[in-house]
Amino acid sequence: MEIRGGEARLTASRPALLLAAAMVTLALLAWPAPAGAKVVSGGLPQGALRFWTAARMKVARPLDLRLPGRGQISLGAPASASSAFETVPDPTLDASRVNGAIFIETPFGLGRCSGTSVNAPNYSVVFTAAHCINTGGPNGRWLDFRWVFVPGYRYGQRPFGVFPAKWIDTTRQWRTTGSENFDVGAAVVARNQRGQLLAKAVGGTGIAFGLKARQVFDVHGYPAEEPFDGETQQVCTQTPFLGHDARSFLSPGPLNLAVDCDVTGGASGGGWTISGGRVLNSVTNYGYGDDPDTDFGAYFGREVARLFQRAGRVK
Amino acid sequence: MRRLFALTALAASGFCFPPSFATANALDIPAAAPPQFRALLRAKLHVRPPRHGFESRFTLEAQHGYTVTVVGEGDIVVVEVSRPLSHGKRNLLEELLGFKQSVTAYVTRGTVTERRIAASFGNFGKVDVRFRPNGQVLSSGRRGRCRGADHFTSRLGVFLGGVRFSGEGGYVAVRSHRAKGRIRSPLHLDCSAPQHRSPDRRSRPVREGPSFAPTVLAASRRHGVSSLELFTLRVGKTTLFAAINEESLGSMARMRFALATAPSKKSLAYNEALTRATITPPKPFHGTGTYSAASDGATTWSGPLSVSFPGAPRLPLTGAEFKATLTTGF
Repeated sequence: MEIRGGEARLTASRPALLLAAAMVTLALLAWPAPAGAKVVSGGLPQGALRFWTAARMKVARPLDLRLPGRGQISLGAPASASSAFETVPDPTLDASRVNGAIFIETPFGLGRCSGTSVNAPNYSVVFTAAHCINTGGPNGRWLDFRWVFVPGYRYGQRPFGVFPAKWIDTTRQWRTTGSENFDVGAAVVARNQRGQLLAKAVGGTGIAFGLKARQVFDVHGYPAEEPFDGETQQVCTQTPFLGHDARSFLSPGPLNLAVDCDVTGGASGGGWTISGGRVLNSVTNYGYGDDPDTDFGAYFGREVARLFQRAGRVK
Repeated sequence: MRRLFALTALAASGFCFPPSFATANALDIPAAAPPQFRALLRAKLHVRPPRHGFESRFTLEAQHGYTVTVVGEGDIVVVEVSRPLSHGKRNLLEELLGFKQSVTAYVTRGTVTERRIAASFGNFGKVDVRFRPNGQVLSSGRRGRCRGADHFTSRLGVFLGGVRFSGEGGYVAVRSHRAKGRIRSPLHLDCSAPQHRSPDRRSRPVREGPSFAPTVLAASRRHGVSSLELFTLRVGKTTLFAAINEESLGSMARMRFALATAPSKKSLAYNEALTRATITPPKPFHGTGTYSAASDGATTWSGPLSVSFPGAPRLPLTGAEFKATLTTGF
């Protein structure tokens, strides 16, 4: 009897399973495969502006928890009372408004990351983590659907408007190998609703490559997992380089950097600045579940310089 | 089954404490393991390893029974110190993986070409050797169903130049100007295992087999760029114990690995509610560790459990700074 009952349940649920499988397959088929930089089609940016309401921004979850294969990843324990992250009281001030939240629609839900406006010849470049652009590796997929950058975001407010992506790219090694040592991405964004170019609206940081790892960083971002909610900009100020992640020695490429900063999901791609916040020199990549107080970011070397050059040339 | 068990254990140990909030591509994160482990993990996880390239390798004998192996691959140079703990009969893991029970690996960036390996290990020493082939070439057996090369080719010869390395406190020291070695290419083969037709089971009666639901006890402490992890996996009658210690030391990383297997009956005991467990792993582990979970969810991980790595005898594996979990099933 038990076996029959099992069969009956299976039969009853089969259409639903098939439908779910078909939907996932269709979603994946519709998801563009990587091939060089990704040009976001012309009609999409304006659709993205309409799509991202304050309510949708609020429910967007950290991207790493939205993608298949990442759901099982445990989050770090909530940050301790010695949290080094501090809320930026006014993210519209000069020093803070270059930092913003990134929102993306994926086949698995609404996702979010952090990013930074960087000065470039086209006034339109945003730097973030590569995994906020492309899932990485030879079978990686572009995350280009309704990808928008909201500088100075705070509680659903968009003081400088919303800048939809029109071009996205990552380091070449991220696309080909998915190596954590190259987790840096860039987007070129279209004008906001007011017709302004990004860097003309909020300014931009400089960007430096090939510096010594031993720097003192300000780490910016919009962490959205506890104890944060993603609605405010946070910053760990003057946090010095702790060392390299031991694991990054095992893959080719520049070694990842560690700093003391208790970020959580959603802060991915947040800028690490030096020289009083004027120069971008890394972005948040990852942390470990059993040590929520340490943040790891990519080293900005030659590959990141090439990425910046490619982004800056986009019209 | 044995191989599957080992692979499962290794894969699981690699993901026991993965990067948390923003891991970019967990599949390609080497599980803090020597190259042979990375290859296994990649195979298990269907991540295509780089096919092009080569691996240079030579081995030196040191005092106190230590073996020092220098490996160059890509831009990575590794000095691996090991001392087999089991004499005579090789244990299961050694047979499966060609791996010693306890290894300390020093990893840095360097220059690796088909003629040269050069890297600095700071105060620990340096390697700068050139390869002189002796004309002897060995080929591994050909594999089927390969993309690209279907076998490894090893060029034998000697590495000439200078190797100077001294471990922490001088526990191991080597100085050499000549060592026999080889350069093997390609780095990896891209071959699929032969497809075995599974027997037709339609007419077979269903039999109750032993339960293989795994039980996992994991404990770790991590701070900044240093971590120590213990991973215990029980599958049926066998339990695998793995300890991994990683630390970044400036421009070099030090990684220590220890592995052991033991009959589950003797080495791991836990209650049905998974609120209490005790492990007693064999060498290179020492002592006993006890896990307990209170009704409010608070856990403790205590006892005189330690592990011995080359250069780090009796490293404590318990304490308040460890976070421990006990789970069963998938």
